[in-house]
Order: sequence, then C-alpha cells, then structure tokens
Amino acid sequence: MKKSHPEADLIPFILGGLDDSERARVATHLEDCAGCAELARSYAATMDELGAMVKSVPTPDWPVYRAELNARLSDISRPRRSRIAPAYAWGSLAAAGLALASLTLIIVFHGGIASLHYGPVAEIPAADQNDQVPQVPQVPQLAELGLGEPAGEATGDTPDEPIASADIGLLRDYPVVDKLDMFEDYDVIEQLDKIAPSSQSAHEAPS
Amino acid sequence: MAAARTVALELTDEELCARVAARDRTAFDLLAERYQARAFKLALSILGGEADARDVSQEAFIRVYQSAGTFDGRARFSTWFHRILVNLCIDHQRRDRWWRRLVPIGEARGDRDEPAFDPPSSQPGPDETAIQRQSILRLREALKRLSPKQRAAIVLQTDEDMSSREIAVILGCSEATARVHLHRAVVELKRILGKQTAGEK
Repeated sequence: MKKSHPEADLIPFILGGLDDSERARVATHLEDCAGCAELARSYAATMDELGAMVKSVPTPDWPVYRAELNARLSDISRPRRSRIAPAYAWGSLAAAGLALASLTLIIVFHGGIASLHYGPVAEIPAADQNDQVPQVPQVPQLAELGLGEPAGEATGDTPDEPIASADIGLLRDYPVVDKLDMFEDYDVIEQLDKIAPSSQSAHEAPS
Repeated sequence: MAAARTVALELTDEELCARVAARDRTAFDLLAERYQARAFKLALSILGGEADARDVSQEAFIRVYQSAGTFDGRARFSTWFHRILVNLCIDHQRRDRWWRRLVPIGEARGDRDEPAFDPPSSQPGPDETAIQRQSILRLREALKRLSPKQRAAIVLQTDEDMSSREIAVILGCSEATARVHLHRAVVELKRILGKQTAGEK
C-alpha cells in the first residue's frame, strides 16, 4: 500500500499551527519518514530566511504617507462638482448607440454575429442531424473537469469552441510562473476542496 | 479634538470601526495609525515595490472608510482589514501581470522602486550589509515568481505570524487550501533559491 505524506501540514507543524491530534499525527509520521523529516528541516530554513527578510522592510515617511492618505480620502469624500456630463460624453454615448444599432442590423440581416468572424454562413459545411460533430480532436474543457471558469475574468470564448490540442501543447512551453498564474486564474487550487474526500486520502497519514 | 482623540485611544479596533462607519475622522486616523505600518509592510512583501505598496495600502484604508458600515463584527477587525488589503494586492498583481510577460522579472523593478530594501544605516558593517542586502534581494526576486495567492499566504504567515486558519479566512478559502498555498509557496521558493545558488556557484 502506498504510504502517504502529510506535506501540506509540514509548515503549520513547524510553525505550531496544528491542533494536538494533527500535531501528534505529523510527529509520528516524521519519526518514521526520513524524507519528510528532511523536508521539514529544509522548510524551516526557508521560513527563517523569509522571516529575516520581513524584518528588514523599510518604512516610509509616515507623516507624508498620512498626508497622501488624507488627500485621497478628501478627494473621494468631496461631492462631485456637476452631475451634467460634458458634451463629449453625450457624443460618445451617441456614437455607442449608433454602433449598437448597426451591429443589431448586421445580425438581423446577415445571419448572426458568427458571420462577422467566420465569413458567410453558407461556407460552413452543413451537418446532417445524425452526424457526430467533432472533427477536431477534443480535449476536456476545464468546466468538464469540474474546474470551473476563470475567477473574475471573462474568457471571451464561445462555449462550443473546442480547445485545439495544439493550443494545449503550447502550455508545455510556458514557464512555471505563468502556469501558476493560470492555475490561480482558474482557481484550480480552490477546486481541490470540491474533490470527494476519498481522493484526498493521499494527504492523510496512516492510522 | 484632543479630548476626543484621548477617548478614542482607549477604544478597540472594532469600536473604532463602528465610529468610522459614522464618518468619525478621528477614529479613522487612529485606525490608520494603528495599522499603517503592518499594512504597508504586508503590501510591500506581496507586491515588492514601495510605490505600489504605498498606493495599495492607502487604498485599503479608503475601502475601510467607505465600507466600515458593512463590518458586522463577526470576525476581528484585523482579519477583515487584512482580507481587504490582501484582495487589493492580489487584484493589483493580476492587473499588472501582462508586464511580467513582456519584461524579465529582474528588469521589471527597474528604477520605479529601487532600492526597495536598504537596511538601516545603524546596522552591521558594509560587508555584512552587502551580503544581507543581496540575500534579501534574492529572496525578493524568488517571491516575485510565486503566484499572488501563494505569495499572500507565505507573507501573511511570516509577516503577520498568522495560522493557516486565519490565512484561509483572509484568502477566502478553506484551511486545507491555505495549507496547500503555503506548502507550494515554500517548495517553489526553495526550488528557485536553490537554482539561484547553483547559478552563482
């Protein structure tokens, strides 16, 4: 049976942030597992280094800082001088309205917005009702994997647009930093909570 | 005014926040005074630049002033405030991220905020100071390579000495997730620092 390691609990363990039962569980594991014990030591060294860095943070000139803060606060507290928009604002509004009306007309008379991007609708091969659609190799969407949509950001993709395998291949060339950013955007880490308890057993120590 | 300030000095953060909700500027000033150093330090640790840290930490105080009425007292004021601040830092990082792709990390700091970390002059001799500064810059660069939430988690821990439970509340995730952020942050830092050291040799 595969032995599990309480890796995510090592830092709270080092820092004394675990409750009694968790601490006992991790301590027992560390007695038996040289690898985790070594990891814990190296994590402690990194945390010490970080702690030293935090102590050396410079401090700003506080009176200046507060003066800036008060100025910003006064700016937002001050009532707006006029609620009547200037002429250029009305002009922009009119232009936006016109653009919207034109877009509506195009959609109505030219068979939908898809024609704007992909050419005439007639060029798209008509699919028989019995045909199976996918000709492009399908890869699972994040949503299909239960990983949700990007947090707070609109993707702009149409829901039925498959991610080509070539696009996924590009991910391999991304530096680690960008991959991490992407995981943050898609809240992959948050979704770990939604995974059924049975699949989290890798982090549980043997009883 | 001085009498009001003396009275307000006795109040807890939560009581001061209630007064801020009633637009009491003295209470706001006191809260800012209590939290400005922590807020700036935390923002600087997450963002890495003095100008950004100053801007974002001030913005956090403005948010407190604007939304003090929504503070319901279920959490401590400090937790609520840190949550505002950390979310602002993360948003700031995300807005800024395109920059990282265009400019190598070392150059991105540029003349905007340098030197971010000058140890106080009354501290150790020049050699020791230089080594210390180099080590801090190394760490600073390594921190920059973490994702915003990982950075926030590790900084909240080292800077504010918070437990993973408190970090979870501030990041708006479960405690298990906060631990994962912390763990990954340390692993990544170790990896980057190891790589840097090997490169220097």
